[in-house]
Amino acid sequence: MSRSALRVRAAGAVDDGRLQLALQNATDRFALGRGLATMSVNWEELREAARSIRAGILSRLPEVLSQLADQVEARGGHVFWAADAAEANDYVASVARRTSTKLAVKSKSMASEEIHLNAALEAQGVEVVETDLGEWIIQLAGETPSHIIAPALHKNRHDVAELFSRIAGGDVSDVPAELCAFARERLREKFVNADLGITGVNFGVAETGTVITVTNEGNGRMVSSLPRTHVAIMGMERVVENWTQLDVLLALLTRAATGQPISVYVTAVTGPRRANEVDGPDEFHLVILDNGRSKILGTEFQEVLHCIRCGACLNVCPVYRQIGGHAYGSVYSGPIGAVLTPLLYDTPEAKELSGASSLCSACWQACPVKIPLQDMLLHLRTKKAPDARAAERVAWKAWASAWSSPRAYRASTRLAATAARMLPDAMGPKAWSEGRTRPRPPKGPSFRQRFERGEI
Amino acid sequence: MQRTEFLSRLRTTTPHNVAHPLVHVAEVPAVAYDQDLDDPVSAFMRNAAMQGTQVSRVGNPREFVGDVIAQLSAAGVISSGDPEVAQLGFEVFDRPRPDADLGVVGALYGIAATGTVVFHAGRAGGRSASLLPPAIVVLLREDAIVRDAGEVFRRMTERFPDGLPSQLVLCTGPSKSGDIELELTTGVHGPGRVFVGIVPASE
Repeated sequence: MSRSALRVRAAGAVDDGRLQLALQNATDRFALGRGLATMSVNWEELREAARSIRAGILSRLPEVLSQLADQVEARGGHVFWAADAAEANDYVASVARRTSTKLAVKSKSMASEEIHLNAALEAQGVEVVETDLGEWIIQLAGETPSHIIAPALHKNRHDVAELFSRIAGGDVSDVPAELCAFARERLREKFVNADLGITGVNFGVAETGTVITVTNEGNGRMVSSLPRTHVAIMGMERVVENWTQLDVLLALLTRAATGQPISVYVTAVTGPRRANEVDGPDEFHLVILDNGRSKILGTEFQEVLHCIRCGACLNVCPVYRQIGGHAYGSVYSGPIGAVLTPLLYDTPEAKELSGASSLCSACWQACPVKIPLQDMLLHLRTKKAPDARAAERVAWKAWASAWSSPRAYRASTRLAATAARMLPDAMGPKAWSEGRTRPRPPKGPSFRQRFERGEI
Repeated sequence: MQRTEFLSRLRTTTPHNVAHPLVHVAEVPAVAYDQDLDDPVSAFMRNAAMQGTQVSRVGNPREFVGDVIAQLSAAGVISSGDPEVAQLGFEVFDRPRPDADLGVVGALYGIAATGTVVFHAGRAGGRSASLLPPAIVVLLREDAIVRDAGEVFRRMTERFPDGLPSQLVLCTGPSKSGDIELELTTGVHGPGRVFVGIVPASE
């Protein structure tokens, strides 16, 4: 049997010593930060409330989205309802054409990664520049994000210096502070000259028609302040009813993501600039994106739409921590990606992602909105069971029926114990038994045999 | 796609998970901070300093801003139209200047629990002065400091009866990035240095 695409990618990541170190460093730091931050507030109470808040919003989603749209429009903004990636991309492209956009700047947006917006805009001659430092680095490298909040964690300072030297046309130092200064200078030029600014949306607040973006670098604020047109792209589930709910979710988001009590910038945009303001966008557009999300509503997987994209589940996942984001072959990685990807895309590649989990439930424990990800991963495995090869299905069935009868169970354990004693060292889990003494079943009668004889 | 068509596709239910049943929480709890916020001004100063903001109580705002200008040897200074700045008698900027060394702005609120200042685009007359320069001076009235974000958020419609401004920004310390080997760097996009002067309520 040929190895699956997931296994090939994972094996590559596990063999990459530098990546292993970077993953360990980043995930440990974020997980530690989250752990400490949870002690600074009434964490468990807020988590439980957040789960209930998110469930309530989804149960009233049409009304809440309607209110958001009404409020955005009342403030002079435009709302576009995108059924899928193509509709969303076409709309943004049409805005770009109408505004004669040559240069677009973007702040980090998973939704725009999901719909491959950059490619759609570039296809019609628009230069698109990512402005989050990490996103810019991977854009220059022609790669995809490897972590929700640290997209370039797989790149070290030398890689970055090399990429920057290429565009500088000369050597750039590999000191992070100097690399940042270089990025500031280069990207500042882009911000000032851009015609179109594209942001994601961390939360849309229905009550006031406000979109919230959270950044540490301030690029989200730049992108929504300097170009004449601002387009915000929001996965349709990222809406909250009011600012009271936002208070709770924001308190959870940044603590769960990096351990910060709040991110450096929380930008709340409500419509385009007003008459008395010297700067700010003349046009504001909100794209509300479905792209497969409505298929998840009303199913046992609905809770995956509670996600606020903090990345906490990645940091604690024993599988993500080994294989990193790229191994998932999807924009969304880690436990959340392993659940969301196959629900959004019905492909064999996406389906196998539910196997990339030990079902240990660390993700659920870390999740600030308490999504039972491990239950969903198990459901996904159950759903793909009929796709297994006939031989595998027969083997599992035989095992199930054997262990349903005490006699067959006893026979099978006796057989297994004998076989394990006789098995030569060359067989069995080779990599595992390197550096370990392989345990052997003890000689003599088994527990069951001794119990039956009345010895125990 | 039209709104009605889009919304008609949305089935609505509540999640049903036998292993982890949903607990309905009727009342949204307040965020309870494990720190002393009874004196919001000192809590603000403590938390702002922790986030890398240079914060001080200021008797004479004009002198304070002058000191920062001298300290940074700032040549190009832009200022916002916030009332705290207007009182200084500085020129209010008329258009964004990307080359300024320092921005002088006022804050609508200070948030004690996180050491955050809040910028209001309408009040300031724009966004640039608090965003573009590598350093900013923020004048914050003592009586504008609230305990926590919830005190602003949970009374948003009351505080802004005519609707929200086009941009409201919560800013907590200098612009930060950890995107290169998680090493903390400041000022990659937003201001890398943030000075906050807390001015008496009567000013």
